[in-house]
Amino acid sequence: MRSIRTFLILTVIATLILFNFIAAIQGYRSSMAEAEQLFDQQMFNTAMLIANLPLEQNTTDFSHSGDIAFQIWKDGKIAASSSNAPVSAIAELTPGYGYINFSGYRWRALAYFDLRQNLWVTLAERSDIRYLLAENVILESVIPLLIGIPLVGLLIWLIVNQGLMPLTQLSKQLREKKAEDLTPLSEMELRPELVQITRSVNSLIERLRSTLEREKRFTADAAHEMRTPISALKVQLHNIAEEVPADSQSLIQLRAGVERMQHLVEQLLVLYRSTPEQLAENSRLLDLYTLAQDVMAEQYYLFESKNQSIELVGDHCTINGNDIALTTLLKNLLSNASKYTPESGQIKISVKKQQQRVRLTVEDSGPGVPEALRNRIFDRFYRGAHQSDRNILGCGLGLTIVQHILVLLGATITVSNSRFPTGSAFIIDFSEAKKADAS
Amino acid sequence: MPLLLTLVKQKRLMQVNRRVPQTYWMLLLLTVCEFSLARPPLIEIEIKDHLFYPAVVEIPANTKVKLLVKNLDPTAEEFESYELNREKVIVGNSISVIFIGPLPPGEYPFFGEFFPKTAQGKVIVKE
Amino acid sequence: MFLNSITLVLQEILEAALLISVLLALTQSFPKMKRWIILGIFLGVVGAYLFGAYIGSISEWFDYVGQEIVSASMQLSISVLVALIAFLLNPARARVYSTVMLSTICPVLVMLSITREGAEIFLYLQGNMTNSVYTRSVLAGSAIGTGIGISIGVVLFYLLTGLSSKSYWVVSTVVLALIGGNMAAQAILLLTQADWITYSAQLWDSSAVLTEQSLTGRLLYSLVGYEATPSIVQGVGYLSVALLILICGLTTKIKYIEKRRQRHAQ
Repeated sequence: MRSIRTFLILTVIATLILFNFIAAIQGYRSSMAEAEQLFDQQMFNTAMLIANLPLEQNTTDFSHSGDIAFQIWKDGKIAASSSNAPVSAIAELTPGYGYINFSGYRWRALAYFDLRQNLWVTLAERSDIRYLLAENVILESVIPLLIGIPLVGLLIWLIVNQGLMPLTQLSKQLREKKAEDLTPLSEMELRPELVQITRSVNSLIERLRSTLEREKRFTADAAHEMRTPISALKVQLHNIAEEVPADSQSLIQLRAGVERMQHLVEQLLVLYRSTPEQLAENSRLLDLYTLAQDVMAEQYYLFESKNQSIELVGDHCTINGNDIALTTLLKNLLSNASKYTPESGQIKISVKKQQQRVRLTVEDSGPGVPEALRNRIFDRFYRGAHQSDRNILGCGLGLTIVQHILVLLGATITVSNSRFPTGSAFIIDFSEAKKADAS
Repeated sequence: MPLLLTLVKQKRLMQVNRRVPQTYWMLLLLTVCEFSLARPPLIEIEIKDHLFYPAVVEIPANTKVKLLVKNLDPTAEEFESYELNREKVIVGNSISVIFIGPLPPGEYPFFGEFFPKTAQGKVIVKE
Repeated sequence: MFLNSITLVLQEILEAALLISVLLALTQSFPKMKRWIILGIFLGVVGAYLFGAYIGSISEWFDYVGQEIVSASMQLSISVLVALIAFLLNPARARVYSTVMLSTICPVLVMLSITREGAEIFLYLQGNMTNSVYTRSVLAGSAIGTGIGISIGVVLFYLLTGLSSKSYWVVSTVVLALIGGNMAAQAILLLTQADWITYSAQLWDSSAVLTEQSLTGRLLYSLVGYEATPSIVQGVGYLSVALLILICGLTTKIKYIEKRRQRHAQ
């Protein structure tokens, strides 16, 4: 994962720094060389001046303690010198420049021979002071470059952010798009670079939308159409029941088959009738605990018939939702729990507030769901893997409906192990309804 | 390239004579012992006000020399020389030892890397 | 002082920046490794401060050559760890490392590299801050040196990650080999300076072509360990460590794997 933004900002700033600073160094070096030459030239002129000083006595001592020291040599001896010059020679008596240490400093030294006066002048200038003078002047031109870099960095950051804005907006649009939202992406502020992406995504969304629409309509229509023949079948079944003995195996099989088919059709209708719009319209504040209590009471016969114990614990928690959808959800979860829990098993429901979420947990003491299958159980028409599961009445749509409703409600579901020795726990997190939502 | 060639040759020799590695070890031992036997001449250099005293040091050719560098400044200095291939930090008010040589005759400048404008010096190697 | 601060700071920063950017590039697929490397940088800065603060007493160890010995052992450890990284991350070999192993090696490597280099910068700045006439030029120079060093690191990182997956590993290994060889050669030099390794003859003298004190020379010294007058032992050390790292990183059992694959296909 390499961010385009970081890449652009870092490489642009790095390149800028490299070129700018190297240019600064180059400028500094040539300016310093220039300054050095200038100072040397000045020293040469000073030496010429000193050579022309009138030498009245044999030795003259110029009282001087500044940054320049000199000696005047005549016939191999020091004829005159400044008081700050060393006793020994400042420089060898060969024309040219050099360096020497004395009086605790490093000096630039010059030996100059004056032909007219026939004397040598050795001159020394404090090298650190020369150097500082030159460097301070040159630094004045380098330092603005340095101070400018953070500013330029900030500007580059702003520019890159601005340049990537359309991309950021596009990805924000995509990120905030809900799974079931199949409206096309808005083409605001389209950049030529992004036109193709937006178009492709939109055409994909459109194809998906029409496919889903067709599938939904077909299933809903088919299910609806199948209700009438199933009702007719049930009437006929009732009639036949009076004609054949009650323990006829064929009759029992037939009744079970018809019931299963009716259940399937009902579930299919529930699945395709719950749409976001419908849910939003009938959404209101509900007490999840009371609702669970009601559904439990309604479904009690299921648990009674298998001699299962069921308990409900927790607090009264308010959530925002549609009561039909939530009832269906609870019904499906409870009947699932009952179906997959053996005779005299245990089922436990809890409703608890956790920070800003309301957690509904349905646990059973059934065989549990192996970890590998935990994602698959929500697939349409998926049913338990065991052969024994096949005998359980159901069509494999229960959990699909649960998940469908949860997506519409914006809740999440996770499957884990229950607190019983075996069995599964279905944990659903709703967002808690705030008081403001009541209005 | 000659180095690689000698390496190859040595490898061949080793295949011929299996006792060669022993000779190697002996040689290695000898070279390790050597430095404890020879006592190199000692030369003192002082650093004061970011200057070397003496700034010019004369040493004999082809002899290993032990430089005793005394930093009398309160600040650290780094004795550095590209020609001598030496680099050593000497903290303020302390003494350090640097071995140089054996060297062929010539001039080997050194400097204080922390204050190079003033701390300059050279080693002159004479026959 | 300006130019001097640049070269001094740049030289020290560049060696660490080089290592850090290669490590970052190589461990891209381990999302948490970035944090470990940053921890290594932090530890390195602390280590550099401590090393700088105690270098006076460290120098007195081993008969006044403690500084050389400690620095050389850090450099040799870097060489070894770099070889280990090349060996472990070699994509042609089966995964033999654990993330725990990598997240120990990386910060230690970074820490060692910064400790050694950083101590010098600390002492340098400390010495020059007391001398107020140079403060401005030293600060400006250090800032420019740091800027150039880090920028080269950034550019190298993006160059490496921009390469195709095959050449990316080859180039990274070559960079690792250069770092390892450089460290080994520097360690040998320090041990010679301490008189723990006896003097050996000069391998070549290229000071006429490129002196070490020039900016280019010092840059190359940091990048590939350029020496104008290396000794034979240094050359041998450099080559053998670099070769070792190349072997660790680039020898593959591809032929073997392909044969096995073919056998499976049949």
